[in-house]
Formats: sequence, structure tokens, C-alpha cells
Amino acid sequence: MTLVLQRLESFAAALRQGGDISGFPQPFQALYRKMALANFQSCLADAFPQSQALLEPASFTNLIDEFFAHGQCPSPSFHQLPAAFLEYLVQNQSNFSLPAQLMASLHWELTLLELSFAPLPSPPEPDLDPWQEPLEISSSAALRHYPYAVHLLPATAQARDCYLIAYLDDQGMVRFAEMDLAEARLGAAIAIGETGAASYALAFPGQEQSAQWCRKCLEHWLACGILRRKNET
Amino acid sequence: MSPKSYGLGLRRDFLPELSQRISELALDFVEVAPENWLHFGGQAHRQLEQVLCSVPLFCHGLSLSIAGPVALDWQHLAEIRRFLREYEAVVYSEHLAYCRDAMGYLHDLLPFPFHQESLCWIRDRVQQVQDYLQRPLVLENTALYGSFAESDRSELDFLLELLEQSGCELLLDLNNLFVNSQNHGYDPHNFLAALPAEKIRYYHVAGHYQDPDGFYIDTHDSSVAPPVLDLLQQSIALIGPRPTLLEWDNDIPALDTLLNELDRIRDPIPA
Repeated sequence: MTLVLQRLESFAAALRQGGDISGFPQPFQALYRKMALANFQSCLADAFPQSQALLEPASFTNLIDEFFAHGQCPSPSFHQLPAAFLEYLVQNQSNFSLPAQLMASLHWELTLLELSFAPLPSPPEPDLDPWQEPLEISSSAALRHYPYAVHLLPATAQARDCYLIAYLDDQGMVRFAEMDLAEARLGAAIAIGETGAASYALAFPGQEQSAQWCRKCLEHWLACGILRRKNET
Repeated sequence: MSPKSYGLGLRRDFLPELSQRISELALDFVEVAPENWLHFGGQAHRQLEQVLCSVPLFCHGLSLSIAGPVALDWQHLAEIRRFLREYEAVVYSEHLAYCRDAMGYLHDLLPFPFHQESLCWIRDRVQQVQDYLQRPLVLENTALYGSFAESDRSELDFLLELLEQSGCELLLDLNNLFVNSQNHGYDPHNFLAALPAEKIRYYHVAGHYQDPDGFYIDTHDSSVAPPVLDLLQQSIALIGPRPTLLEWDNDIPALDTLLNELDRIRDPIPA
């Protein structure tokens, strides 16, 4: 590596970690560091308002400082920064003392954020028979299972299994709902990519739910754009 | 496109309203950072396409890191090329700065020393990008705070050499010119007078902030200050009219306020 490239690497490393940069005026080192950190902080505060509320303000700021100093942002797109932040925390959570719900909360908020810029769902196909056709979860929808009711945080923080479905509606609004266990089982079966009938058989081998209930559920999810015909592009 | 064109940096804050009103507005073009739209769907993407049915697109990238120490991100450049073609972008501009090190993207514009070694490094990279994109790269004079002790030439001299040697063009950011001239103590009029007019592709104007310590910061969060409007008028007189873009990226006001600001830039009140 040439001298100038070493210099640029050193400059960036010192900005990340707060070290001194020789041959560059100190007040402007501080200004560059402040501006770069402010970018990270405003982006991550906007992305994770609920998760931020689970922490003392200084703790959230410290996590961002640590991420800025030691984390990796592989994407040139600024809107991918929240995903890189969560990845960093997943890899390094043993280094921090974090509230038990935090990782689930961050993951949920990232799910909602990423859905907000997913492609809009295709209009439902009027002649699609969900019972006979292979189905899949649309790219503008996500099924999630958390050990906390992450959508109720921070008001309700007790541990319990929570099944959520989130999706982008045809107006581009992100919507979500909590599922009961039967809906969650059906959703997990559909994710395998079989027909509605096969998914029903897989989810409820003892016919714990009626086929009629299952059909209604599938039709509702199709109407919302949560499901689509498998292999639809 | 007429050189007497006026455009707006497009932000999601006012995109829904802009997409509804675009056909009735006196707006000649819009500018986006392509990085903010790559892999983006949803309602905002649909609204962007509505806007682009009416006005041409300028692309102003953030993540090329042309001056940076890490190899160019060719996957990113491939995505940029696809984006430029898909939306028939008139211009692809970037920043004369770096934003990426061995650990990844810093999402900020960092300075570099002005000397022969960095000139050769950047010149070669500019040529690689131009060869790949099959169009001139348009580089912006970036706001610079502080300078490296080992720099052996001025920002202006470096810029002139780069323009000459690389074949790139200049996005002349007049707010950055003002900010740098104040922070580094040089005369912006001499800077303007030295620039080769044929290399100037378009102008940026924006608001800035004066720090309590006295130095100026390029903040894009307020109306364009009178000295920057003066520099625009001087640029038009010296260099000629060019497409002119208003950047307002923080504390973004209502769309009508932005349009009024654009009117003020288009038809400045004589002093």
C-alpha cells in the first residue's frame, strides 16, 4: 500500500476510533468525527425508535459509537446501515449488557423498515384457487416469531411466544398483525411452498382446524398481498 | 437541456406532493442520490417514476469513494450503470472525496491530501469509472474542513490538474466554494476566474451554517445565503449559464417554500 493510501486508512481509522491524526488540525478532526457519528446516529435513531426507548439514551449512543468504531458497513446504500448495525450487535452482543428484549425489538423494527421499501405487491389474481395452487409468502410480507410481544414494546415487556405477520399493502403502507398459533402453523407450512391443501395437511395433520377456516385464512392473506402464486416474479 | 435550467434535490419528505404536482411546476429537472434508490420498491419508487415522466434526472452519487484507499466497488458501479440507463440519467456526478475504508462505508465525505501521489491515484480511478460508464464523470468540489500538512498544492491547483488529466467535468458547488474560501482563506472570485468554462457541467447551491468558532459548515439546511447567490451570478457571468440545482437535505421545509427558494435563485433581486 502506498503512503497516501496508508494515510487515508489511518485517517478513517482515527475518525472511527477517536484517535489523533497527525498533520491534520485537531478541531477539524473532531468536526469530521462529529459529522460522521451524527449521520449514523440520526439514521439509526430513525430506524429503531422503539428499541432506542428500551435503553438509556447514553447506552444507545454508546452502541452506535462502538458500531462506528468497530463495525462493518458493506453496503454503499445508507438505508442498509440499520441492517449492518443489527448484524454487528448480533455478532458482539456478549460484549454489551443489553435488555433481554432488545435484539428481538431491533429485528422487528428492521423487518418493518425493510418492508417499507419492498416492491409493492401484485394485485390478487381473481382466478387463483389457493387450495389447488402452489403458494409462497410474498416478498412484500414477512412472518416472524419472537420470544416477546415486540410490537407492544416497551409498554409490555414480558416474555411470551409472539407470532407476527407484517406486509406492505397496495398503497405502500406497512401493516402488521399478531397471529394466533393456528395461523402461525399455517403460515409456516405455506412458507415451504406447497398448495393450500398440502399446507393445511402439513400444519394440521390431526385436522385440529377445519379446512373451511384454512381456506378463509388463505383467501384473506391473498387479498392482502401476503401470499402469491409460487414462482411469481 | 437548456443551460438556464433549475432543479431540485429530490427528497422523500416532499416526494408524494411533488409527484402529484409535477406537471404544473416550473421545475426543469430533479436530482437523486442513486444509492438511496437502489433495491428500492414501494410507494416512493412509484412516485419517483411519476416525477421522472415529467422531468429529466440528474444522479448525484454518494458512495463512489473516488479518492479512497480501497479498490473501486465494481458491484456498486454495475448497479449505478444499470440505474443510469434505466432512468436515462442526464448526468452522473459524484464527490471529490472518499467515504470507504477497509472496514466498509463511513457514509460521510472525507478529505485527502493534495499532492502528486493522490492526483495520480484519483486520475486513474476517474478514468476507470469513465471507461466503465462510457460517460464523463462529473466531480463536485467538496466542502473541506482542515487540510493535510503534506499537501503541496491548493485545492484549485489540484482540481485544475485533475480536470485536465482525467477528462472528468466539474459540478461546481457554489456553497462549498464559499465555505472553503472562508475556512481556508482564499478569494472565491479568483477560484471562479481560473476554472475552464467548458469543463463546468452544472452548479449546486445550498445553505450553510457558521459555527460559533467561526468556521463555516455545508449543512444544506437553510436558504441560500446572499454571498452564494452572488457567486452564482458571477459564475453565470464568467462561465455561462448552467443547470442549477438547489440542495436542501436537512430541516426540509414545505415544497412550496423550496419552490419559492428556487424562484429566488432563478430571478435574484439585483443588489
